[in-house]
Amino acid sequence: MPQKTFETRARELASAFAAKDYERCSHLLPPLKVTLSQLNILVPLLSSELELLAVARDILEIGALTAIFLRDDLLFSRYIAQLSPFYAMKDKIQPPSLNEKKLIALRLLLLLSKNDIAEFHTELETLEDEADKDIYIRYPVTLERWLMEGSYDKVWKATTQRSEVPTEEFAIFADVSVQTVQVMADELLVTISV
Amino acid sequence: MATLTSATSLLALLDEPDQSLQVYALKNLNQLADEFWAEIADYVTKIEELYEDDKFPQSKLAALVASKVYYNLAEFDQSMHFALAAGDLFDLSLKTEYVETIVSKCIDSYIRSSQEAFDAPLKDQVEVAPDPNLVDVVERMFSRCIEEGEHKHAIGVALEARRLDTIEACINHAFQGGLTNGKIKSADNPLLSDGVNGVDDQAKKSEAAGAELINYVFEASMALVANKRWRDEVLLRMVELVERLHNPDYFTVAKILVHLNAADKAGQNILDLLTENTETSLLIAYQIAFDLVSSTSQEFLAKVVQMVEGSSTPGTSQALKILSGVPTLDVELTFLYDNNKTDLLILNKTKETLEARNSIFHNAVTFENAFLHAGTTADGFFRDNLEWLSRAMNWSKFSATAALGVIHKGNLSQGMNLLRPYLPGDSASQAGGSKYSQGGSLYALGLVFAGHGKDVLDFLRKYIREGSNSGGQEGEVVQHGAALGVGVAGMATCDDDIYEELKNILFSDSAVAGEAAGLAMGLVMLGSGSEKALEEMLQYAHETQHEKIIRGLAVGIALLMYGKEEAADALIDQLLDEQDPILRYGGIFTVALAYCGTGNNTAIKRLLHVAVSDVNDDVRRASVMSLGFILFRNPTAVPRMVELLSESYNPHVRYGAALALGISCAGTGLSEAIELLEPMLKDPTDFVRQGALISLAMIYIQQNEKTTPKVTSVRKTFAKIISEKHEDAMAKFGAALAQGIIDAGGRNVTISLENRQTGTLNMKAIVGVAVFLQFWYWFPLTCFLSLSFTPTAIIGVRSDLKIPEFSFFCNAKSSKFDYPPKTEEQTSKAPEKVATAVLSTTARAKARAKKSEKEKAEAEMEMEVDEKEPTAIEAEEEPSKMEVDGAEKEQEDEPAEDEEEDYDEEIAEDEIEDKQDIKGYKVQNMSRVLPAQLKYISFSRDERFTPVKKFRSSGGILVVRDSVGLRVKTPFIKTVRERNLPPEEQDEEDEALVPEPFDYETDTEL
Repeated sequence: MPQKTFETRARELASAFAAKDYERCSHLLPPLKVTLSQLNILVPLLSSELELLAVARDILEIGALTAIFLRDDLLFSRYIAQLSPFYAMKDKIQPPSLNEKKLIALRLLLLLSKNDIAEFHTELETLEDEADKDIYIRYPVTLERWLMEGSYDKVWKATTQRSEVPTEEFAIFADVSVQTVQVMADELLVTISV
Repeated sequence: MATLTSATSLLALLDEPDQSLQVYALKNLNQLADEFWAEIADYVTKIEELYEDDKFPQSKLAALVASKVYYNLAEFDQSMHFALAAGDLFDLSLKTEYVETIVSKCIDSYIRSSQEAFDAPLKDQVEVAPDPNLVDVVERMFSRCIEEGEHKHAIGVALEARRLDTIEACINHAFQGGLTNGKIKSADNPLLSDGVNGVDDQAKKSEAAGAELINYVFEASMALVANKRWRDEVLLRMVELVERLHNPDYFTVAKILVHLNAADKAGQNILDLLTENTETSLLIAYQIAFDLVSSTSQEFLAKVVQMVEGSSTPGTSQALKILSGVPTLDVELTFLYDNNKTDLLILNKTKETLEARNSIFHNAVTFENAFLHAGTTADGFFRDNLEWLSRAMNWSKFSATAALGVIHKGNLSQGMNLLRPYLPGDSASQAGGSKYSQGGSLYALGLVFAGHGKDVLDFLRKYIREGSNSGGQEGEVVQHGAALGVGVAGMATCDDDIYEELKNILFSDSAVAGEAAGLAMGLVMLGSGSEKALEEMLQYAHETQHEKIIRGLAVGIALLMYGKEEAADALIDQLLDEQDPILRYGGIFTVALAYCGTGNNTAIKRLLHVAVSDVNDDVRRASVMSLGFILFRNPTAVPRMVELLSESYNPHVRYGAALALGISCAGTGLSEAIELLEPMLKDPTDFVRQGALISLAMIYIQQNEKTTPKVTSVRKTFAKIISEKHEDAMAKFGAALAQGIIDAGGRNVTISLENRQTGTLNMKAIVGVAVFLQFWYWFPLTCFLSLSFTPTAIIGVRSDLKIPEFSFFCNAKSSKFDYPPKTEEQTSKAPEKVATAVLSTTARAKARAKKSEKEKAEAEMEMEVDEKEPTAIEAEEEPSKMEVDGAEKEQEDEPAEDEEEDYDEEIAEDEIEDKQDIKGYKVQNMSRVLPAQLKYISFSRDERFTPVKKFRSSGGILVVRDSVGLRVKTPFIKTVRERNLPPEEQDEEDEALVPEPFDYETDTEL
């Protein structure tokens, strides 16, 4: 019964994630994804069962968060890409995701840290209007605004001080963001001195 | 419902390290490729990587996805490449646009590569062999077509891809009872639907389907296969297939054999039929013999005769008689003689207008007269105008005498006697000894016996040999005539002795005689491609100083290569590179004749290139004209092609464009061609006007007002140009020729470069037109056009070669295919009208008579036609009344009488013509049936005489089956030859053939 083992393994994954044992998660995830593909719910298709989709989504979300803790950008991007169709049809999948906004905000932050401003704004445009009221999403949006203004001190503060960061996942990007800020500041100095 | 809005999630999976996830992604992408190709396109390199990865389990799937993406990106070559790599995952049975596009792409490239492989020399064949994957796809396509009964599709591709095995497989499958599209068609055929029900019927049907496929292959390979070697291969195999049938279609076989020029096989066929010796087989043999006579060369016929001679079955003598060609000519001559509708008034008017002292005008009238009466034996014009005739000097005299030959063309029985007064030799003293008329008469003799020269060749050759003795300029003229005569009479005999004698004249290096000799050498060796002749002629062309001789040789060389297609390429290349423009001119004609009627693209390109790049006007003119020869099977393509050339700044190119239209569209009345030609009538250059006039006449030949309304105004233009004082002589000459051509042969012939019976090239006609075009340099060659005149008639001939009187049905309005009205009516009618108009009583009586006749006719009609719309007839009394008028018009020989009554109704008639139910009318045996009319003709099975060959809209001579038997008397139409025989001989001949008293027939003679 693949269904049975799948459910136990899903629970196993959830508990490992809750225990912050990310190494174990990364071992549990790939076979689970294969099982998802066999159950035809890795990608929400016409033929997929709606109830199972929520489970699949949760697993992928855990995968995405795990990727962050393991500092694997590419893996994280892939998970986000795989999650996107689930989010696109979120009104059909019950219960709604708790992590959606957080993951989107993280993706925005990742783009920002890579200085991929164009993609950042494209992504932002696809969000709904009330999105920037969300606490998670507001974080990368304000960061971007400060960066554009050149208020590097504010950026510095927002990324280095733990209290300013919404959750611990965001902190992980901090180092990267700091580097970005330094590079931008250097560039600015060079332009001014010339 | 869950639907995807983006493929990103799937694409992300491609980067997964786990292969099963990648496979999963590919599987889904494969489904969604047509929707999300734009997104997938960014990842196509990744997909290609997967395809190339040896360890990846589903590389074919990756290839398929890549193929779909490339298809959507319109990169079809790439797409095909990956589709082929996908192998069996690429499902041919899907009816999506993608599959169809790629399959057709595959087939295209397969055809290309297999054609290359076919053309490549044997040792290279492995290198150019098509990709095995490609072969696989095409094979799968073939087997699917065959399974589904779409044989024609498969055959079409196989023909192009040079796959004989597939063609054969298709035909075999059809014979085994496979479904075909053809089956539906053949079910309509009355002959087949009559078949007995059950198994027998089924077998018959599948056999018919197979036979139809063979016919299809035959037609397709004729029309579409450009490569001669391949075409011959296919045709040969088709013959083998047909021969294996229980009940082979001998006519198809004969047709194919004519194409293959396989005389021995054709002879064997006739022999087999004769040996079978049933009534039907004999009739078929006779019909084939007639077809062969009308469509093959003398050499071919000679071979067939040789084979048949050995047989001793009852039908042999009759078959040999037909093969001698004499009956064909007799019958055709009789048709032209009996139905001669020449309008002498036009000719007389032209004669009066054009000053005879001027030799170009004298020539013009001579040729007009010759064309008008071609083959009708009506030489009355010459007899009535002896004084005018005597004004002919020198070469005009030559032409005038030669014209006599055109008029008596095909009059084998009397040709010699008629020309005797002019011929040199024993009667030299009485002929006034003019060498010109002597030469002309020899030429005329050749024209009379054109293509049937057995009887006169020896006579003509005497003068070729002797001419050199008499010496001097006068001897040359006789030799010139004799050489032309031998060339025409001995056309395509490939007789080496004649060739050698002609060569002797050539080597005497006399300009006049040499020109004719060069031309005649080409005519005698027509289409032989003889290496020896080619070499000798080319060499002499380089040596001699006389332009006339070079020109004669150049055209002669072109004639040698007639119908040789690719085999002539080397020679063409050589000739087109010559320094001498005259030889390049010959090279162009070689292209025209070698690729005649093929529509070959390479040839067309070459001609178009020369037409705009050569430095010499003659060469350019010739190359534009030659387009007409290559494309005459597809006349509608020509107007578009020469449209720009017809507006060229160079008058020679314009002239060429005009004639290209004339040649290719001859007899069609094609309006697009006319639209291009009409402005050329006002061209500033005189000879362009001439060309346009001649071409218009060629296109409008046999057209009347109903078929092409403009024809009347064009006729008026001809007359106007002739009568106009300030018009140039060249244009007047052209107008006179045009008047001759448009009403040629007593309005009973057309110019047709293709044989209607067999669909083969009409060699005589093509050569006739090609040499006619040389009239630009030498007027006497104008007479050659008469070779291309084909009588348009349906002539039923019984097995004893008699022409019974019977009729068949034409399902069209009689006025549609009527002869155009004579001009006499208009000129002489005005006073007459006043005299008759007052007689009201007569008009009333006439109306009464007409009414009763109408009723009679209506009653007849109702019997004949199964009443489709009886109410319509009653409701519209007017039209049906007019219908009767039309019928009357046909029967009575005095249309003038009707004209008055028709006058008011004419407009109304036109209006309702379309709505009206066409009733049709009966046509007598041996009367004019226009090519366009043929499709309306049908034979009633209740008639005593029915054609033995299934009637497929081809006119000419049809052997008819006599359902009652030869012994029951029936009225006959006598041939001209019979009429001319002295009475005692008539009896003798008659007894030899049929044992019934001849005097009966004399009583009923028409």
